[in-house]
Parts: sequence; structure tokens; C-alpha cells
Amino acid sequence: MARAAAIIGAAVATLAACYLLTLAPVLNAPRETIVSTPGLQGLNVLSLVPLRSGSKACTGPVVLTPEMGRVRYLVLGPQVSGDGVSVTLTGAGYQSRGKVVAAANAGPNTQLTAAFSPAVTASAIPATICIKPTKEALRLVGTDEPRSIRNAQTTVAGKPTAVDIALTMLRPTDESMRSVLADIPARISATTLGTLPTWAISLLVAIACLTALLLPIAALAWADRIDGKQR
Amino acid sequence: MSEAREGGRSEVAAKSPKQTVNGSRLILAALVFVALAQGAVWAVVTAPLNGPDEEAHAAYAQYFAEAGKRPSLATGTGSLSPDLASLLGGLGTASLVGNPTGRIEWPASSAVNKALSQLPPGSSSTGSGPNAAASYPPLYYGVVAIAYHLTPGGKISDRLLAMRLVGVLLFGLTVALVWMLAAVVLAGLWPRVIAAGLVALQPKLAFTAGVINPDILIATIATGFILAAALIVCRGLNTKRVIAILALTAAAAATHPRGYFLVLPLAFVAWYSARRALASRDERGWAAAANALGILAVGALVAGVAVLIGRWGNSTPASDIREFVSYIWNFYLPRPDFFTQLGPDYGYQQVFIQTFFSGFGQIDVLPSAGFVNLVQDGVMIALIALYSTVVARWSTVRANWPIIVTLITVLVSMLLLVHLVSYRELQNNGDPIITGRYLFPAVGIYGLAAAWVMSSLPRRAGPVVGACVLSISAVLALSGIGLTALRFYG
Repeated sequence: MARAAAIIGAAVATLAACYLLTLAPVLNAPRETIVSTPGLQGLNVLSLVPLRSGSKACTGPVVLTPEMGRVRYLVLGPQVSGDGVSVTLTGAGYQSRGKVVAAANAGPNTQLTAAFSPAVTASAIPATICIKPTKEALRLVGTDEPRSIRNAQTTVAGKPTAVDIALTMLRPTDESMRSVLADIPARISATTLGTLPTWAISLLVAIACLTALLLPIAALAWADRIDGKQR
Repeated sequence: MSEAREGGRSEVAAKSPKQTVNGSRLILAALVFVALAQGAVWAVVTAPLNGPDEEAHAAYAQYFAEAGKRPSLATGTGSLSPDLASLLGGLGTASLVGNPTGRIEWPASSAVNKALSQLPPGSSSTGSGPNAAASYPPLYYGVVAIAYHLTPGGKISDRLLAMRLVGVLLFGLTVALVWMLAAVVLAGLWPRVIAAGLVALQPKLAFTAGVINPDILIATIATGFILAAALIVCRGLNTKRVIAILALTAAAAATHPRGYFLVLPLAFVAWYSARRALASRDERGWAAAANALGILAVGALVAGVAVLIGRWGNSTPASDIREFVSYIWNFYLPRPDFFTQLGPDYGYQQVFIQTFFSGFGQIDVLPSAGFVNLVQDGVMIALIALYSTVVARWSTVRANWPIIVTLITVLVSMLLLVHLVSYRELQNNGDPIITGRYLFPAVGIYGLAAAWVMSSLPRRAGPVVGACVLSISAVLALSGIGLTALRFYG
């Protein structure tokens, strides 16, 4: 019994140390939470969508979900303020307007993040996202390389550009990794095209976590006990 | 390793009452269950077609299942069938590769479902090539084709999942084989738990099991080979063992060109068995001849390797051999000024640490550099512990030299083959090509070595240290799953 206690105690101490030293800071720190990326910047090819003041770029259908509260896009050149850029999201029975809340340099470009409201209430709405500079011209960054093209074909003044602009849909606020992880089973379920329900994926993950943490240690303690009896 | 002498069997196992056997089976079942659960989670967490080269492997498997033949390497009607292309494009999985800001387009799943339902019948069988994996032998693809056909409904996403689950079953089998290997080589039950448990919790192996890729089948076959070789070397020849080791060698070659590395350990086992048989008949002359033949074979191998290097290199044979030696040195050790660098700065850390314990997705889901350094420090401590154990138990090592040389031959043969291929690729296109999952054929030796070191500690300390190591492995395994889930979905 004492030997089993020593084995289990060593395992618990190791797990606690690993959790406190490596996992806890990462799990609990707030982070930007990406919900989806309907458009990417290219891996090898960056393409630009130039917009004069007053002209409007619109994406093809982007699926909006209730978790989304911010949209991020990329503009050529550093330190672009985003002042006077209007962002609108329009879908069936849904319309909202975004306001730039953050601008950050990303290499030679600027990431502009616009918060929008009201939030989507339906489970998924195909919508169009339009970006319109009203004060000064800007160039949106995207790609037309085939491997990075997604489903958001951009148009300017109704004319197709054959470019996807880089778009990232974010949650309304930063959240911890712990809360993000809780959303993931539903997203995995969606990519199985409904074959595996969310609860089945949650159950599978729970079983994998518990068995990885408990079973090998229990097996070790038991095997040691059997070995001890045979001596 | 105390009981692994010729013809010997674990004293503990020999005395085992029925209760012990039942307990042992339950423990094995628990460890296999851990492996199956890990593999199954990886199969659902990894975004579709985002395992290493999974797009090509899945297309090969689908075409093999539909048409009964391999796709073409350079020609054909298309690399992907329309249903695979719809899934790949609709969920945006191809664009994730190398683009860490991208996420899978899960909100588009309804549209993908609709697009798949509108495809014409027969659209699954048109991916005849070109396919980058087409030169690989068909055994793995034949195995997963069974799951492809057994999938109810025939939806491509379900078929991909079913083919991934074949790898999960192979992972469970690999863990069971490592357990049996440990039972042959090590005394006691608890070291078996360490050996099999470490393999069940090896994060990259579990990930590889959860995607469509022949590497998991090579790992299973090679582990079976090592078990058969250990049985022959420790307990002697019999018909079943001979058939098993020959069939496994052939199966490895029918799975992947890297599977040919088993020929060298097979030759060693054959040589050792012949030598032992001759020695037992007191035919000293023949035994001496067998020894001479063994030395000649090693010499022929070294000469053969030198010829290959000379043929693949871009200079004179002598300078090519010098270049190969400097490549091997640079791979494992810091580069001295007088050695040239062949290809990128890529070596031990990238292969034995970074992509052996992580490098998920298309080897682009990696932990932080600090985390990798931490794991490298842990592995360095483990290697020092292994060296110390060899020194401290040198008499045991000498007494059990046949099994130890067998295991070393497997390791050396595997590494020699991947280094030769890497050297050739570096000459051709500057790509070192080696990655951590190429080491999985020897994953049983990884578990075995760790278990042996721990079983060499004082009796009370061994299982306690083992508990710490298993716990760290569990944390590594679960962190890998979390990291990958966030990369694709969060």
C-alpha cells in the first residue's frame, strides 16, 4: 500500500508541477480568440485591392455565427490609423456596422480590427462584409494564389477582383485558452459534417484525458504490487 | 534484462499464477485502451487532410479502393477526386498548410455538405494522378481501403475518418507488441508498464496513428519484427518465429521503401541463429566460418554504403565520403570550422526532439522553442542515465549481447537508411527530408530502453521514477492535442 501511495504521490506531484509551471500560465492568460478565417494572406503571393476614398470593397459570402464580435483585415503600409473606414456586415435579416477599435503593425502592413454590433443571433448567416474608406485611399492585402483562395471573392464597386482579402473573425473580447478549448468540440463536429455530434467529441476528449492521466499510473501501481507479491 | 539469456524466460513469468496472468492481461488492456483513446482523439482533432502529406495518401487510398490500382506519379485525370477536392476546398484545409494564421472554415460545413451531395455518381474514382505518393508500395493503402469500403453511407468525410481509425487500431497493436517485447527482454511486470505506457503516450506516434499515413503501419510491422527477432535470439528458432520474421520483413518492404531497413537486422538474426546452431553441435570449424562470414558481411555493407555515397555525391568518391561523414557529424554534433555545411542547419534537435515529440499537422504545429529546449534537456538526462546504466550493468549487457546487438542493429540500420536517403536528397534539392516520425519503427526500443534504465534503479525508486516519467509523457501527449486543436479551430 505504501509503495502504491509513493507511485501515485509521485505522479500527482509531477502533474501538479507540470500544470503550475507550463500549462496554467498558458491556459489562463487572456488571448485573442479566432473564430474563423474566411480570407487569408497568401503564403507566397500577396495581392492588393486598392480602394480610393469613397469606393467600397465587398467580400463574397462569409458565414457569420453568434460567437463573432470583431472582424480584422489587413492594410498595406505600417501605422495606418483606420480612421474613417466604414465596415458593414450584411446578411439575410441582419445588418451591422463596425468601428475600428485597434490598429497594430504586422510586418510591413497594419492589422485593423473593427468591433461590430449587434451580434448574430441565428446559428449561421451567410453575409457580405464591405470595407469603405471615407477619408483617404488604402490598399487591402489579400491573395490570389490558388492554394490560399477561400470562399470570399472580393469585389470593388461590384466588379470581381479575383483576390481574397485577408479576413479574420474574432470573438468580441479576449478570452482565456481554457474557455476557447470548450468551444472546440462543436467546431470539430461541424468539420465531420455532422457525423460526430459535439457530445461524442467532448466525451472522447474527456476519456482520452482521464485515461492518459490515470490508467498508466494505476497500471504501474498494480503491476508493482503483483511483482511485490511474487518476491 | 537480467533474464533474457538464451532459451531463458522471465523467472517472474515462469512462476506466474493464473491471477498474475489475468492481472497482466488487464494491465495490457488498460494501456492499449489509453493508446486507442489517444489515437482516436488525434483522428478527430487533426483537421481533415492535414496530416503529413495526407492529401496524397488519402487520394492514393481512395483511388486504390475505387479502382483497385495505384494512381500515377506523373499523369492522370487529377490529383484529387471531386469529392476530396470539394472537402479540401470547402473547409479550406489546403490553405492551412504553412499559414499559422489560418483556421479551418468550420462555419462553411453546411455548404460543403450540400456541395458533396450534388456531386455526380462515380466522382470518387477519378483521382488517378499525378500523386506524389504513387511510388509507394500498396500494402498500407490496401489495408485502409477495407475501412473505406466498410464505411456506412459512403460520405467522403466519414471514409477519411474510417481510414484514420485503421491507424488507431494499428497504434493499439503496436503498444501490445511493445508489451510483449518487454516481457521477453525485461524481468518483472512493472517495467512492461513503463515500456508500453511510454509508447502509448508518445504524442507524435499517437498523432501519426490518427492520420492517413503509412508510417504507423511501418511502426507496427517493425515492432512486430523486433519482437520476433527477440524471441529467436532469446529463446531460439521455431517455424512460427521464422515465418513471422520473414513475413514482417516482406510486409515492411511492401509498405514503404524505408521498410527495407529490416533486411540488415534480419541478416544479423539469421547469422546469429546459424552460429548458435553450429556452436551447439560443437562444430567449431563451422562456427569460426560463421564468424568470418559475419565480419565479411559487415565489411561488404560498409563498402556498399561507400559505393552508394560515391555514386550519389557530386565530386570524387573520396571527397563524397568525407562530405557524408561531415554531414553525419554536423547532424549530431556542433559543426567544427573545417567541416562544410551540407543543406540547412537541421539535425539532432529537429529530428530527435522537435519532430519526434511534436511537429503535428503538416509538421507546422510546433510548441515554443523554450518547451522544445526543456524536452531536449529531459532527453539528455535520459541518455546520460542510459549510458550510466550500461556502465553500471556492463556484466548484464555482456551476458545479453545477442539481444542488445539485435536492437542496436535495428537502430543503426534504420538510421543508416534515412541518413543515406537524406544525403541523396540534400545533393539533389537541398531538402534534408528526415523527420521525427521516421524513427517510429524503433519506438519499441525507446520504450524498452527507458524501462530498462528504470528497472536498474533501486527496487523502491524504479516505479516511482517511472510514475514521474509516465506523467510527463501524459502531459506532453495532452499538450500536443490542445496545441493542435487551437491551431486548427481556436
